[in-house]
Amino acid sequence: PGLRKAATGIPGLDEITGGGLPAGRTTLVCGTAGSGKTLLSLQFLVYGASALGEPGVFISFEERPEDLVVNVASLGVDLAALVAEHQIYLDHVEAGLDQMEPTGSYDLEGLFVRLGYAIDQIGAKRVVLDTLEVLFQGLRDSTVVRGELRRLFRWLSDRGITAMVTAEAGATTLTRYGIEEYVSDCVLSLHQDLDSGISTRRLRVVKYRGSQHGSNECPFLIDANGVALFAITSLSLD
Amino acid sequence: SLASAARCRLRLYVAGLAASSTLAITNVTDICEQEMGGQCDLEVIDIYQQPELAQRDQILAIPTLVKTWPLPMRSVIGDLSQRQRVLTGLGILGRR
Repeated sequence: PGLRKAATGIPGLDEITGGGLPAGRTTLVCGTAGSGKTLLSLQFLVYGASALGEPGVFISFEERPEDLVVNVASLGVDLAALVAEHQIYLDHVEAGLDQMEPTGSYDLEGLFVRLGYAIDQIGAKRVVLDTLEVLFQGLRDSTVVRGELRRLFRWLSDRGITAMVTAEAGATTLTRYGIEEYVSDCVLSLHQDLDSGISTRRLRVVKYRGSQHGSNECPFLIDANGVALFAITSLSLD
Repeated sequence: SLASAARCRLRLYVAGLAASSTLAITNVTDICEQEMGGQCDLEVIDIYQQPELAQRDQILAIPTLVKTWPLPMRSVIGDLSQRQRVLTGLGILGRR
């Protein structure tokens, strides 16, 4: 069956993924700090909203809304206008749970209610959760967080939402807390190699269920328009 | 008035009739009676009824109990069954 794809508008990425990310599914983008994860997720969201009429919700666990607006302004995108036009909805989560000692059983229903509320405000079709790691740092017992993440990805997919989740790269694992185990559809990894003094940024399609692709790596750069991949257009995937 | 200034103000965030939410309501009511001699004003907010407050008040975990007065504001998460952690987390002495 043709796997429905959600175009990202990121030059080269739609080519090497054969049209974009798996629609109605969750894509995990992992990378070290400064690897371009947030920028890539913003481009995905803004493109969906401004070019495809798919409003998007950005849940930020780290950057404050005003930083995001500046971040995207450098790409020539007026995020504040998109927010005013209900094309984008920003929610900054201050996960100030700071190692709280739970006093009994709990869950993260607050996150689900906030997400549902934000999605309903603009009829969102896309969601970004930028850097889920913070949830793990905030809460001592990660079994609750892991269970809630599994529930969250199912919850998003049940609503046909195309979601992008970013996570910090782990030293030996793809992500620090092994979130990749819960994302079975699409995993992208951003990293920077320093060889012979030249640092090259690369994007690797680590996993893409239902679509044949070599786990190829593609160099990319970050310029005034954001992330752009050097996809050799002859590199066809089918 | 002086009396009301002394009263502790608590706000409990719950989600519908989930087990941990209903348990938290029972536990906080008992804590108010038994540990604070009833000297506290309790407000229960159901984020299903008022979803916008989950964002406004930065709520992630449910249940969450916030002491809004006296300052400094403190909060704890969970169904409040571990009483000492509730008292310590909120900075309340409780009955000695």
